[in-house]
Amino acid sequence: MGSSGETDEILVAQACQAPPGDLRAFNELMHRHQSRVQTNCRYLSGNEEDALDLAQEVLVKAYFNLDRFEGRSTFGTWIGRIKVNHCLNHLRRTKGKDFIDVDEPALESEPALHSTARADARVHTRDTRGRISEVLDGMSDSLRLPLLMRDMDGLSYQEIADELGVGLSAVKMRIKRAREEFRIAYGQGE
Amino acid sequence: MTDEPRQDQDEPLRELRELAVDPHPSLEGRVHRDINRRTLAANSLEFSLNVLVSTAWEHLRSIIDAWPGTHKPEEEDTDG
Repeated sequence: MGSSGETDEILVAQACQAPPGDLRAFNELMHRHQSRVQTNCRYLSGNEEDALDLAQEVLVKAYFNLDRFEGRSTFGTWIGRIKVNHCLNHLRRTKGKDFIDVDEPALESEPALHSTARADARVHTRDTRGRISEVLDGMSDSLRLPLLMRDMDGLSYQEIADELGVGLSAVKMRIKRAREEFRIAYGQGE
Repeated sequence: MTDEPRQDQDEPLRELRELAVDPHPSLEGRVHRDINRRTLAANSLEFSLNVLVSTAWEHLRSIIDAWPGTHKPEEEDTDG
């Protein structure tokens, strides 16, 4: 049980049927997905220290909800949704309910939504991952979250709009703007 | 004008798709401990509830048995 040749779906079935205390199948699933989970938690939360706690909570939540996995999507997509929900709830708790709930056209031109200058100024690190971290950490939640949900997790625009509670057009605009800002800031750091 | 291909601004950022941090060495251990702790807590709660329900049921039965008029007389041996 838990051999690396099995598909995620078979491992989920094995983990659900395993006797209490037998975590071998789940361990294999965890090995495959923990890096992605922790990476995403790191950048969604924007906080290195919170990332480990969040990744742990996401993996534990996934374990206790394995029997709800119906195989309609891949396991990676399924755990990705748990991760996004968990990280957004964490941000709502720590930063307040309205951290991203900005959906008025007038507010779209708010300076707080633009972080290019701040992000540009912080691009000093030479290594790729460090430079990406600095650019992402320099972006506001309003731009960083939809960008990560789209380009890192592969969620659809509609799913992002639903998760964040903002309009579809606002999501598309923010992702476009976030990509532009990222490319400018990241390009200047090279 | 330039012959360089124009980068599509709506194209997903490849840098993010490929981005991955090394998992923290303590992550697996923390997940295992958390799962075991929660499983133990759930089992303990289930056991406590079972004990509570069983005790309450036994208590109720003893009250019913002691209630006047509900005590069944011992059946007499009717052989023969």
